[in-house]
Amino acid sequence: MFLVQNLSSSYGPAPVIQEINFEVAPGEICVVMGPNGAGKSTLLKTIMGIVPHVLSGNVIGVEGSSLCQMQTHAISSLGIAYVPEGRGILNSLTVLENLQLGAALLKKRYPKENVASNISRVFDGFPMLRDRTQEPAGLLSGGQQQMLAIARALISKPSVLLLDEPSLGLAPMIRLEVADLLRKVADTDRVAVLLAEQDIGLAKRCADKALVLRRGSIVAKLNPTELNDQNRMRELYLGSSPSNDFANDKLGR
Amino acid sequence: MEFFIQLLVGGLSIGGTYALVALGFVLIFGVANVLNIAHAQSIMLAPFFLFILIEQAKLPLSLAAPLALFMSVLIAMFVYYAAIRPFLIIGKRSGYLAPFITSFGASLFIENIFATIFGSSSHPFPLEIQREVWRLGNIIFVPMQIYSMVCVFIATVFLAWVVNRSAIGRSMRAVAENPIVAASQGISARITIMLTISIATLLAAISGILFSAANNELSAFMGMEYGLKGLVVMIIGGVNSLPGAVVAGLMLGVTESFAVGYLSSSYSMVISFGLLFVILLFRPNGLFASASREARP
Repeated sequence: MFLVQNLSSSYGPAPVIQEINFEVAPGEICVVMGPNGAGKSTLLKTIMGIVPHVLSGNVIGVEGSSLCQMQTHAISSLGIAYVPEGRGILNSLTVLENLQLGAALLKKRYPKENVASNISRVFDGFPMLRDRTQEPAGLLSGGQQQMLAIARALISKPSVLLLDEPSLGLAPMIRLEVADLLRKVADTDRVAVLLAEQDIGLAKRCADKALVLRRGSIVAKLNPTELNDQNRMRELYLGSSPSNDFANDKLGR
Repeated sequence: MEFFIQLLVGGLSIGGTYALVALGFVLIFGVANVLNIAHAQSIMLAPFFLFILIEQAKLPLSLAAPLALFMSVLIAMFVYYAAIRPFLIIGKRSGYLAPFITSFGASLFIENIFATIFGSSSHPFPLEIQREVWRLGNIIFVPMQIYSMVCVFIATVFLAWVVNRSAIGRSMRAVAENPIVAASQGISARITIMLTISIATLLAAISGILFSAANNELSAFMGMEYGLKGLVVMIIGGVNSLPGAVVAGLMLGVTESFAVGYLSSSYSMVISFGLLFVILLFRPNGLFASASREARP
């Protein structure tokens, strides 16, 4: 179980996310939703050790080790893969070199793994990358870059996969493709997936549960049925007072 | 014609050593995002350590040379941790300015320590250098120039292999492009920067030893004087370009050599900066600037 307990963090004096509690089981997809500035990205960055100040709380990896107060490269070496906002592929490196970065992580955790066979396994899942291995990754299209970023994360056989707005700048059809891909990854490789996402269509397609963030706090935890409830989502997003009341009721405040 | 070829060979030889220095500046600037002026002092430190180890400690060359290189790397590491890292501000536009000045200070500090201990006059290079020349018809070759060219060639090929083909080079390029994404791939920026500085320092140290041997001189001020040329080469080459640094280094060396041969040796610095001005007039971003950095404010 991937656990986030009572997590608060900040860039400056004021906390950006406050007392976040949730858990993601292996094979489960949890979507973090909420309007711009709600703290979705900050939550992911806090887990990855990129936000400068962790004020309180803890993050516990699937294997049971605490990840809090560790450096980013150490966290990623423990099997937490992170696909940052805006793809986060390295444009000047070739497609193959990007994948080799993920393979190097795999090798760190499982020294006996065969890198070449893992890379070719990923090519089976992402055939369009196979033809373009020697091209700089910056020349790929947006959708291909997103696929490359996900492929690079998967090659390291992570136990937890964090994705920050994978739908950003992608056509609706490709968003659904991304959603299906994540569903497959969660089901077959038993990865715990945590997804920060604004796109409700993508969330509905693949999520097992959803958290709604507002001003850095969780205001609702939803199951897939509630995600499909359009009125409920509208209230949560537009933040009319009844929704806040409802959410507060539900959270027992 | 013979004179022309001799000047050309001499120019390529000295240009190669400029290129090694510039490659180090480019590497450190790219990966650590700082213009580390103190890097220039590795040029002076390595031959000085060689001098101390051979003249004072009476060590054989086979032991003294690796030790001198190792000591230069240690000092470069120390300078980075003491004078640069604490002042780096990541993500701020002028963030590179403070470490630029502090590294300049560190550079002067090292220079003055050596000038105080060893005096400000020039010493002879501690090893016996083959002074007999080789003749090919009417053309005279200075052996040290040829050795120097071979060393520079090997070092450059090795560097190209490290940067483009090895895992260390992949990490270096990843950190240079985006330290946060690199970290999320398990790459420690700190270790990568330390490796980068080590490699850069080795290049400058080799270059310094070759230069010192070729000219049979060793002075506390050679680091700055000669490091400045490395900076000029770095800018001419396009700041971020490794091939650019090699081409620009050879170009500067050859131009200087012709200027000294056909005009006078006092023109050396004028030629370096003259070449810089002329090239920047026509190619404001240097010879090999990458397209993404082409835009000017």
